[in-house]
Amino acid sequence: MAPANLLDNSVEAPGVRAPLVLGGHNNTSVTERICQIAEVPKPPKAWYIAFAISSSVTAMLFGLVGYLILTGIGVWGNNAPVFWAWDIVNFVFWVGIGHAGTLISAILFLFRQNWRTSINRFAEAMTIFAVVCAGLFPTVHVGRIWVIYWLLPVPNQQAIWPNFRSPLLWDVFAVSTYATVSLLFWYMGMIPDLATFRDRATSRWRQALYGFLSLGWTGSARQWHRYEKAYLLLAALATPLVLSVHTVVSFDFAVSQLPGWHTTIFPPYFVAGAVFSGFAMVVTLMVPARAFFGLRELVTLRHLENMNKIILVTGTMVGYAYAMEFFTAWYSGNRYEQFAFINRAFGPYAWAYWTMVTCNVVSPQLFWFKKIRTTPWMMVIVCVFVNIGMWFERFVITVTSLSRDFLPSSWGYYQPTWIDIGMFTGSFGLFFTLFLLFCRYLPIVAMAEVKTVIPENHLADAH
Amino acid sequence: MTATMTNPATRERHEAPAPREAPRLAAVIAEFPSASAVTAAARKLREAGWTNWDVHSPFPIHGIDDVIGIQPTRLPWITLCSGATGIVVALLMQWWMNAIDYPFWISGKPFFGLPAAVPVAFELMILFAAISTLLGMLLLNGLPRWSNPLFNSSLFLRATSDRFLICVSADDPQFDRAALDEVLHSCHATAIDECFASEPSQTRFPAAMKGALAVLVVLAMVPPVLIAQKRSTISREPRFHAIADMDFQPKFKAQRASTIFADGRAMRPQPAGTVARGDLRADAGLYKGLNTHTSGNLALHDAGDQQSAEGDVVVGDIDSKRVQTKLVSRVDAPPADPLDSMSWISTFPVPVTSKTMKRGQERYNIYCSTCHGLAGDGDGLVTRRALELEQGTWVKPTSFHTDNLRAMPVGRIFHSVSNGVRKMPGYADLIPVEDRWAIVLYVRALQQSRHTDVKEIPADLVPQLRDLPRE
Amino acid sequence: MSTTSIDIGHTDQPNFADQTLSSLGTHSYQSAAILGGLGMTMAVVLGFCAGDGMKHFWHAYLLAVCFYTSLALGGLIFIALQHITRAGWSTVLRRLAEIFAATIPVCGLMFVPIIVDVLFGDSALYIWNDRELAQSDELIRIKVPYLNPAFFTVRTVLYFTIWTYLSRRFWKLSLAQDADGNPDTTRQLERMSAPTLLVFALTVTFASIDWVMSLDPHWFSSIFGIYFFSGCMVGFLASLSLVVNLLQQRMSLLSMVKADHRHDLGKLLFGFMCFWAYIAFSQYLLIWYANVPEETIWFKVRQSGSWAAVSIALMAGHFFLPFVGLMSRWMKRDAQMLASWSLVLLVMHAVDLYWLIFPSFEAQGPTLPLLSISCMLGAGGFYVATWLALAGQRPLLPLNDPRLPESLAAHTV
Repeated sequence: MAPANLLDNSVEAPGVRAPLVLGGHNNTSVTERICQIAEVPKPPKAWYIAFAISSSVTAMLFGLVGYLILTGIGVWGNNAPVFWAWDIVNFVFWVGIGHAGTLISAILFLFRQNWRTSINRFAEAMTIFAVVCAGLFPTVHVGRIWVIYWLLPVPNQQAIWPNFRSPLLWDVFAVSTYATVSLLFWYMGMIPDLATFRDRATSRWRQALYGFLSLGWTGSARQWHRYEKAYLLLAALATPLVLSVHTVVSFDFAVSQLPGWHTTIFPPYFVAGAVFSGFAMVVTLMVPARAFFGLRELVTLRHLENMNKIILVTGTMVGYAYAMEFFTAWYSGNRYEQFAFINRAFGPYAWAYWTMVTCNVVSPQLFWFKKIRTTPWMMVIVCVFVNIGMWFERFVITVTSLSRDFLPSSWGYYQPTWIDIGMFTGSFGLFFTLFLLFCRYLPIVAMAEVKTVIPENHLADAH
Repeated sequence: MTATMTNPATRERHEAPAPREAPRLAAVIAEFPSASAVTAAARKLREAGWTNWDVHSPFPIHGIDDVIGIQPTRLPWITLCSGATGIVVALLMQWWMNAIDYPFWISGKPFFGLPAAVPVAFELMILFAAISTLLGMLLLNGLPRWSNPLFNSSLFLRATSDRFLICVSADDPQFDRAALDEVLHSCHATAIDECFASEPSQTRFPAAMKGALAVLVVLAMVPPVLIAQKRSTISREPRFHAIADMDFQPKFKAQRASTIFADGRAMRPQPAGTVARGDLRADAGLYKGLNTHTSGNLALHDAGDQQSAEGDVVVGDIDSKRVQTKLVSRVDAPPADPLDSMSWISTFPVPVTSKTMKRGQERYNIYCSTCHGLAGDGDGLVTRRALELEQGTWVKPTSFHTDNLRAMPVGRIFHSVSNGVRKMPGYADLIPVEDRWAIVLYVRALQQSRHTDVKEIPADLVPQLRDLPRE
Repeated sequence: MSTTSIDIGHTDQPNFADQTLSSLGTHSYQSAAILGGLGMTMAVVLGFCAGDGMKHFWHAYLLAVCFYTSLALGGLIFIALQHITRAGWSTVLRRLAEIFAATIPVCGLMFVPIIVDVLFGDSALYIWNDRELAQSDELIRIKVPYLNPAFFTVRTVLYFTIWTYLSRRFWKLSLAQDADGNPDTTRQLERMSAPTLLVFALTVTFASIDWVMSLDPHWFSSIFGIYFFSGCMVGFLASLSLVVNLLQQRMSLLSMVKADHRHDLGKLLFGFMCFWAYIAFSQYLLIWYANVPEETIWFKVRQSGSWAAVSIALMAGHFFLPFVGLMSRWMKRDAQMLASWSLVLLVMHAVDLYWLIFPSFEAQGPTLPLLSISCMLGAGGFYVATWLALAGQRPLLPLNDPRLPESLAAHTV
């Protein structure tokens, strides 16, 4: 079966591995292709336009955050009984998106999936920025942000320590650890590429900056030996970490007694959902980026197809979890649990529920069709819907269970305020601002890793 | 032989100002076009006995470790130990902070519960292990090392892009330039360069950067110093309120004054007829001993209150001849007792079983026998002692074995137990409702014990009677 | 500089057609079957002697049947996973996994006594089968549309039908490829694997709910299917490495399975063992934390009396000790060490199922497991006989699979 075009390596004959890098690249061309994105004196006009938009949206975010801190949480729509609303939904949404990067970097590395080399830097950056956006929401939702250090186990003027029996505190540790380790992993991965930038620098300040950041890396075999060992160890550490972070986030809900929240399947369900939404975001960003930055030969259709297959698998897992929740609600005979699910589908938030089901269960199933999973613009549409669906999933879980719990006299309908909506939109501005800066100043593809998979570098006597 | 520097802008090598002494050769660099070529060269070099050299490449070359003879790194052990430390630290921290130093109950969880401690322990394990892995790798690699003679060579600059180099250090004890050149040429090196030790001036930190760094350090010291100063000194200033309307919230608190209401209180009394949950004593018979629920203000304690409000009145106790000598006011004719006209129940609202009777006996012995005596004669220990003391304030309790009391409806007796009568206080606060009825049942039993026909006693119990009836 | 696909290169490989169990002869599986019969007879006799309406027997029998079915199911899913990921390292081991999966029909046959027992209205095993209890107990009554003998039977038959169909298709296609090495077969198998995974997830979930979770019809856990699945994978991977070790040591077969394959197998075993621990801990923590009595009772039984010791043994033997052991690179690559840890995990998988099933029968604590052991041996005899019969004269690795050369050359750093 001949591929439709020279850039289509999504077809693989059994026994013959399709190439991961197309276009006959060698070490020099790979280096040139990636470095010139950051080395060109002025970025393309489109970058400026995009940056202007995203930074103004970010400015709006900061303004709203300031307003929130000075005025109070009351400017949000949170109120009895829905005390967790867009703030927590946005937090879980962003943390979930971050998981794809770590999965690509760490888990696919452990499974020796070499196709990850073209996309892992990009995805890891996405993780860092997503975690930054995620961390914003729990930080400001505490109200008195000036005493947020009470969440840390440091001596404070109350002489009291944090309550380690609370999943909210486990969150503090989990997300902080995740941010730190992701940052370390991302940075360590960049050291050799930053050295490349340093050695190609044409101006003094670039040489100084990249020289400082690359720590004097020389690429000696001994350095590589320890580096690779450290990479493997960090990958082995990051794998359980990424599973644990969204597990701990799911614990926020599942350790309670609230119908619709307290069900044992939450941990793997949340992790699958996080990977699902994360990969969808990677694809959504990668498709325009590879076109814009000329990376089609490095991030090939095969890469995109593999990611879409993962989206299909994890989306199906999420659908499985929905089915299991339903069945268990019926099987348990717990009237409150049964009502919670009926209420989700037919209550006042039914519009959110059916959006979620359509986007999460139905749309990824489109990836059964090869055409859809190998056509860039089609997959972007599907992935955008997936992300919408995943936001709605968190909304449905958080808000419907709170708005109608055990006592009907406590029921209440929640509506967001403009601040809620503005902060969520603003978080996208922050995300894209950081992302555009990353594209401009840092190596967006892991050159050193890509070079290990191009045919030129396969040793004739490899054993 | 002068030091050469590479101008980053032009990529040209030019001579630096003549140094004071001849620069020292640091390394010899040989360039190779491909990974396999450099691997072959490395093999030859090692076979020739060279030791102080390394291969530089833009990516890790698979299998080169064995060719060069690199020993497996100890890094995994560092990771393992740090991870273990993380777990221990986390568990100790949680145990000490939540169970020892400041324990507090929360949602019924144990102070230190191992399941709840696992997530934080896990996260700290990963954190410690990850940080130590990165730092360990850098440390073992000798990084950061921003000054390296290798950077002086323009040939070296492509080691991180697309060329493969072998750098042989001149520090090697058997360094012989000629022999080295021979080996390198036999490996088909495409270029060879020399690399000289950097001038001390080149490796010194630029003065401008030092100044900037010093300024930054000083600035960074300001916040901790300020915090330390604030925390160690006493201030006479009033507390600073960053968010005034959070600390002074426009709302009324319970014990404050209010200008809105006539009585000036922010806290409002309950509307009339408010009944607390669990306090709706709808069953008048059970709770008051009355036939119908008397409306109005006749709550449980009111009947007793009414009586005591009239002063210390000795209401007719037929057997008692004692009169209080310290009466404040004496009423000639006792006023009509409102309790007489109320409709008391005559049947027990609790099951009349031996279980209730036993309970009543037990409760009576605890609460009542101290004054009323074990048989209800009013000769309890406290009474006897009080009478001994002859202080004149004590009134002997009524004996139960009077016609008046035998005829009294049980509801009225219950009322007396609950609210008190004359000098006796009410026991409603001490004894639950069912127990009070059990006591009343026992009182009836005591009364019957003194006022019954011997024919009604079962024959086998008759010998147990102490005072046998005379014929 | 190549612009076309990379060719692995078909090296001159020796003919592996002689990698069979033909040297064992037919008496091997006949003796296994006889052993199975003896074990099962002893179990039935012991069950009668226990005098409890065969309650103990049925629980032990369920344990044995679930154990062997879980190994077969693990094999099936392993095959599907390897196909769908186009894995190259595992091809040399795939035929063994296919044999495991192909034993599913016999596992289904072993389930027939349980089905018959349930259809006859016996409630020794499943108390929801007791009509009166089902009517009087509200929590059981509402489940009657699902937990009734007819629907239970239909579902069990459905599961085994689906699994049999899938495993036989994988088996047949793989054997056919031995003859012609047709790459289209691989594509077919890959296309089959995705729906297999989906169907598998649903059937295994509901099978575990029907067979194991319903032993205590008052209790429920939405993660139970995943818990059971993780046990299947651990049990299967442990069995696979034990079988490989056995074949290599005792029969000098499969010498092409090298340290690299063991390494990857060990990594998978380690990974799924951690996954099992993660699922088990999640289930426990959520129920412990919310402290809702209708859920905690299930764990309370398993934490009280002598069951506490079993729980601790499970934690130590199924997670903590193998974690430390299998973390080591050397231990994964060494044949004897991997086999030892696999044996530990296989036994622990049985203990896990015992811990799931038996507290509904003996809440005070486990008694002498003689009955369980004879049941396990009995069912094991039948299972091994089936396995050997299926292996028969057939080659123990897929002879002409296009990915076999890559698998033989697999190198794990």
